[in-house]
Amino acid sequence: MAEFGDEIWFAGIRELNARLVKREFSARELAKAFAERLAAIGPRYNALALSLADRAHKRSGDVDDDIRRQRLRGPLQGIPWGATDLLSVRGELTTWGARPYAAQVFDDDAAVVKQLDGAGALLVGKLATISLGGAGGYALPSASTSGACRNPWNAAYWAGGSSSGPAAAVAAGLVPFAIGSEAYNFSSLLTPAAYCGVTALRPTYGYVSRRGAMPLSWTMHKLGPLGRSAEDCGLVLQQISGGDSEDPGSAGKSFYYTPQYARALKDLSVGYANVDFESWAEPAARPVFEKALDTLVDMGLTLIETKLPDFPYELAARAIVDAENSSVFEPLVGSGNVNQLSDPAQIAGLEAGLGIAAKDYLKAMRIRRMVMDALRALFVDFDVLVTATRFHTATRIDQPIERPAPEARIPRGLSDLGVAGNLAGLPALSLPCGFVNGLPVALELVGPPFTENTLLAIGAEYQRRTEWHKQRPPALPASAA
Amino acid sequence: MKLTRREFAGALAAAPALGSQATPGPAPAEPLRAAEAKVRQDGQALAAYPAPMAVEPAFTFKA
Repeated sequence: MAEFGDEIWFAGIRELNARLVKREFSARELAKAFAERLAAIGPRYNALALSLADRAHKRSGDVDDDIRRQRLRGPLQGIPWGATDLLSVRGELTTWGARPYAAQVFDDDAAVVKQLDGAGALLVGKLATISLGGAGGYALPSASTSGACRNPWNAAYWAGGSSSGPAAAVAAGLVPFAIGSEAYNFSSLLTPAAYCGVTALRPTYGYVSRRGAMPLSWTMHKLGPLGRSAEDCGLVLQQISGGDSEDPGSAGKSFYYTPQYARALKDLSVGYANVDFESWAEPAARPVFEKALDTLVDMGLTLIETKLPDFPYELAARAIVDAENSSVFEPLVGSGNVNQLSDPAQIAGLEAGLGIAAKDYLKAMRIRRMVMDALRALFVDFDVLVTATRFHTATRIDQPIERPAPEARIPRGLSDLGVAGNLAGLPALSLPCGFVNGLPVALELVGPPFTENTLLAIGAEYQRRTEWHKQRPPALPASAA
Repeated sequence: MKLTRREFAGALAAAPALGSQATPGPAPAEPLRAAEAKVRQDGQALAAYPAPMAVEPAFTFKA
């Protein structure tokens, strides 16, 4: 049995795959080691929902056989990974992080699980999520059957949500990559990635099939990868993208990770807003963000001051997501079992969402159309927009997730980009860009639909020049759990 | 305190079984009132936001 250490736990996909192909260790050994590490350490962060060590073990024999016979399927072959517990895995518990579904078992795998199985990747565990992916809204980090997910950088802080477990597990070296999801509530994929110091890619709406994922919001929900680098996210998206006639939201497109063919960085115009970094960002984070912007300039990108068109982004997104959430979970509310959820704010949100009038939902959808048109016009002048993924570091684990709103008189800049990007279905990449008091912060890059290769090319170059994505959190003392 | 048999049976039925988790009760009224008020406020704000009549909702029905 091979001995594994930090150089394996924190290695990228290509390196791990190269060592598998060279047969320095087997896929079975690697999956077993990651599964054991996830099972041992994951619960200390409240990051693990369900170990799938047996499933990985059973499949690893075929993967090793393929590698032995030089039937090489690409860089994900033999790579362990973790899935948010919103994804179904045949014959295994899929709880959606919520007590009313604690015994739920599906008889089919989610589409992304099948796609990653097909590439030879080995699913080693289900990872913790905020209950129902945060449907209805939530106020507390503990709104999950797994408990409040701890941040590997400081266990007194939250990992973010709703994809809490995927971010914490990648950050702590428990899996090389994970699949999480985002609709809009608190940027469920990018926020935990930023809080935990990992890279995450929110794909264009429709790029990745949601078949077999918990229905959260039909028009806003996206699945995407969290990994060690922009390159790893690109490699994973290539495998999980593609048309699916069984997902009505499918764009019918496949993604090929080819950053080498993206436009030269010197030809790209990047919109940014000084006010984001000078006023919206917490004071201690401002020098970190300034340095990150300097790096973008050093890379040859042209940064031009801009701002988002004026729309009630939050208002429209909230009406759409809350109405869709509550419609999805109307039977849960009607049965009274919604009261088994742990966060009173989430219970109330799901109940109240049933009262959203059709005229309000439609008005929000019409505003959404106006937002899409306005952003399309903005992207005539810009290839990419950049802001902070979050303007502050992670919140404490024992406190509500919402922070006091900044003064209303501060100009908006691009501060609504997270919500606007979700409304318009735009791709976004979150890149770790430094630390504030020992906690990570990150930049968010957003582009027009289906420009993931441009975002990833910028991300890869940024990560070639910086070391933030390579930082490893301190080991969690057993007493912290 | 005196309990009737009916009250005693009711209390037993309401108590969680040994070893099982307690089932949380109904949602507290205050968060629900606040959430419903937010829905009403949002509805008023959406109604007040101007949108040209020609703007269609951002979804397409495909036959």
